[in-house]
Amino acid sequence: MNDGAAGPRHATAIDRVRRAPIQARGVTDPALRRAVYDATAQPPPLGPYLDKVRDQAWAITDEDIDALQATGYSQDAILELTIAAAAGAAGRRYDAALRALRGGR
Amino acid sequence: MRLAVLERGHRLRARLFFAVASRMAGGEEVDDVFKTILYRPALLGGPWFTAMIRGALRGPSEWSVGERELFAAATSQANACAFCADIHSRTATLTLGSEVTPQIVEDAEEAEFRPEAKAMIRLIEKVSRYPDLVTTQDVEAVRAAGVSEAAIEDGLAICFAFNLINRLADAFEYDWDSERHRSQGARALVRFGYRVPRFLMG
Repeated sequence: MNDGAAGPRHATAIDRVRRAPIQARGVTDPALRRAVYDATAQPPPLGPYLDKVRDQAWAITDEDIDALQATGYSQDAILELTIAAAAGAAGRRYDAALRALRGGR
Repeated sequence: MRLAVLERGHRLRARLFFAVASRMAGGEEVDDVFKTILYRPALLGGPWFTAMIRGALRGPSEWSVGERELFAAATSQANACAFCADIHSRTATLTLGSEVTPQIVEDAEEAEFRPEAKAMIRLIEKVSRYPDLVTTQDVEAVRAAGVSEAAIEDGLAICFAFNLINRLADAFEYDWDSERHRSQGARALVRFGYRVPRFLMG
């Protein structure tokens, strides 16, 4: 599937997936989701949890999720912010790879 | 899963689909990735998410389906995502017809994959683990193995998709109900090829 003459293959779909967690309707402020996507620092317990999502998701525990819920984050809020952080981390990697790909040509 | 809404919070159309899918699968539930996507599809782009997955893993490509499942497994192992590395090493085994281990990044060099696929796996590992260190030389090494620009882009799309999914899998603790559920899940991915009825994604 070639989505556009200028962009890489799959670019349109990937771009739409990347923007979705920021643009979708939700219980959290889209500005917060944008900041989370961009890996802007957040106060605990949210910040340390989202750092784990980005850099060591395998280390996330029940306690991490419990701490967020105890602070007042609903399950929908946790879902939205987790997807925003994950999409941001995946997007950062994709951009780095594309820069290397384009840099060689 | 750690969020109960992902198990039981779905709207009616998704619940009806789960019931039908479960009946077709001898009582086994759909997998946790499916449950997450169908809870609030718009959060992942709705039909664009399926277009991305289908296009990258099953669309036209110089890579075989089995090689693309290898890339899914390799990304997952690079991110230490046991759930995804396990299931995609199984789907790779089913589609390649030869045994693929979940430790694919380490085992790839000794495996009987094409050199092109081995080179792509090395790039995927570096992009996933050390994105800030990726250079044009890393991409040149893949080109030198004979991989086209389009094929590299296909591999990187898979790498993107699983860098996203791996994080959700570990954050929300995806798992299987039983060994039967797991092996049926792998076969379902191969059989249905990541198709999702469109009315569920809107």
